[in-house]
Amino acid sequence: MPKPIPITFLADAENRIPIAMAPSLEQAGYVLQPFQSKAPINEIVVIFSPVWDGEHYQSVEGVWARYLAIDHPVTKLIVIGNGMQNCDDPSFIDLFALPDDWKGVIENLPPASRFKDNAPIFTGGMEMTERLSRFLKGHGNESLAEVCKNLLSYVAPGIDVVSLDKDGSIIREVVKEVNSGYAHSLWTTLHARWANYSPLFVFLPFHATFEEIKLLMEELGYIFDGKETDEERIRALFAALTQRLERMRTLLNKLMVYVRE
Amino acid sequence: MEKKGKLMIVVWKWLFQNVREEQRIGGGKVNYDFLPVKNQPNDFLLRYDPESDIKESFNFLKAQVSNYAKTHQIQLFLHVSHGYSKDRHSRQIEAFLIKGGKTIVDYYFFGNVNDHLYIRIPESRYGLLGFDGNLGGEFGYEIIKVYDLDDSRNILLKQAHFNSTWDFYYYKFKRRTYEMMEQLVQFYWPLTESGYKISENEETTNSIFQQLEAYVGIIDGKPDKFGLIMEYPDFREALYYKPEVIQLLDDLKKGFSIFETSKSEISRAHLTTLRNAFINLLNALPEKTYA
Repeated sequence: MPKPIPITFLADAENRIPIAMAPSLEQAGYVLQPFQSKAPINEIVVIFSPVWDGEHYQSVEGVWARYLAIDHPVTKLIVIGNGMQNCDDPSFIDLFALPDDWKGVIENLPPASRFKDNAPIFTGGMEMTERLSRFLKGHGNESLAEVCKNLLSYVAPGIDVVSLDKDGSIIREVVKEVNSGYAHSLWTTLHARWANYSPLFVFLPFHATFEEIKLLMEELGYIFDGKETDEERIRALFAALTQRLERMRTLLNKLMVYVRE
Repeated sequence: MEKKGKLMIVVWKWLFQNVREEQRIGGGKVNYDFLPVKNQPNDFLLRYDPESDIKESFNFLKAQVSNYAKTHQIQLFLHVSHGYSKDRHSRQIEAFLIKGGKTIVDYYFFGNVNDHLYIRIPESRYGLLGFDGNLGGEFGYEIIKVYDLDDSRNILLKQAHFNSTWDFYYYKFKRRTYEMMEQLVQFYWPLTESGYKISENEETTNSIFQQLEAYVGIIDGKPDKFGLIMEYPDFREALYYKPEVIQLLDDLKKGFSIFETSKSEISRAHLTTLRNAFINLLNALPEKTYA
């Protein structure tokens, strides 16, 4: 008997449809494997959409389609769901009109590269491309990468002062400066946007990036929230500040690639 | 056509903090004011605390609706402690809220602190009302400020609090309908797949059923256990701005009749009919599922 072809699938923990559907896929020679952030993605990806995040049903297929088109262009994407509008894209399969010939459907499916500029599938839930875009760009001209850049420009003189301060006499002044006024308002924008949106992103394919942003936010918080009081530790945090803000900006710009203009 | 502003009218026992002396009517008590939203010059909260009888308060509200209906979308919230009730007052309210068969105002009776208008820590940080007539306030160890003050110490509501409260009510019916459909399909579809053997947990089945009953109550306009019909206006809104929705709701109600004989033995054909009724209704509602 030939080895079954693995399919990476994404569904929320509450959804038992993949379990119920597995036997018919197995008969056709496929095996479903849950998406894991650290495991490689198979050449066929199935999303059971929408996914429940505990408060909303999220339609994540738009972000995934764009991600696969850019990072895994030969992958074949299938979205299985109820749908909201008539969708004739071959990658969308209505849960109530499953194919008899899975093998034929999958083999004839065009690769995900076609989704680079257009992802026509939408299952009617919370549109996550829009949410990712709002996180990165804000509602107007409030790009988070720009906020990082402005924050860095503003605190750069302070970084120099702290590095030259031998006796620690002006460290407190600098800390006070970055915990108030313009720097604080930039940090509040960055922090609030992250706090509001990051809980929504658990089903997106960017776990490693979000984990790194989370760590950077925690480290930056020691300075901008005024959590750190130890002088030596403050000195070390300031020494790493440029690198951390630059890294944050790089990560945010990297995510921008997955949001259509 | 210029985009309409948003006006949220909340009739409640307000404290009217930060109201200056010159704003007080005849030097006495203020009983209403308009609070603008920061950076949204066309959007307002109208706080109103009528001391007069209900009839006079309707005259006041009618005048406000008449002033703003052309330029603003309006949501009206009436606290039951002022004596408002669905049974006694809906006709009078609808007389000035419905024009030409179309609702021009969504209206809600409220009186349950679980309502989304209230800030509820930890469930929701983004309502508007605190306790005892305040906007926001102190919740345990946490202070939630829903407004800033400008240079003249006038209140400017924070966008996040105003918008999330507005959006919750504006999008509620479609969201609720969509979530109900997904819950039902995700629960029942596996049961209609041959060979699916996992036994269903009675508790889960009952929970789905309770939610379904509540949903049917909404589209039938039945009061909840507090005697309130807070979600009814969403249905009414759908009903009036798109009359064919009535037929789609009837189709959906017929679809629910399949549950009358059994909670778990449902055929794929029945489930398909029900799902299609949901989809038709959802497609007829033009707003987004989520804000």
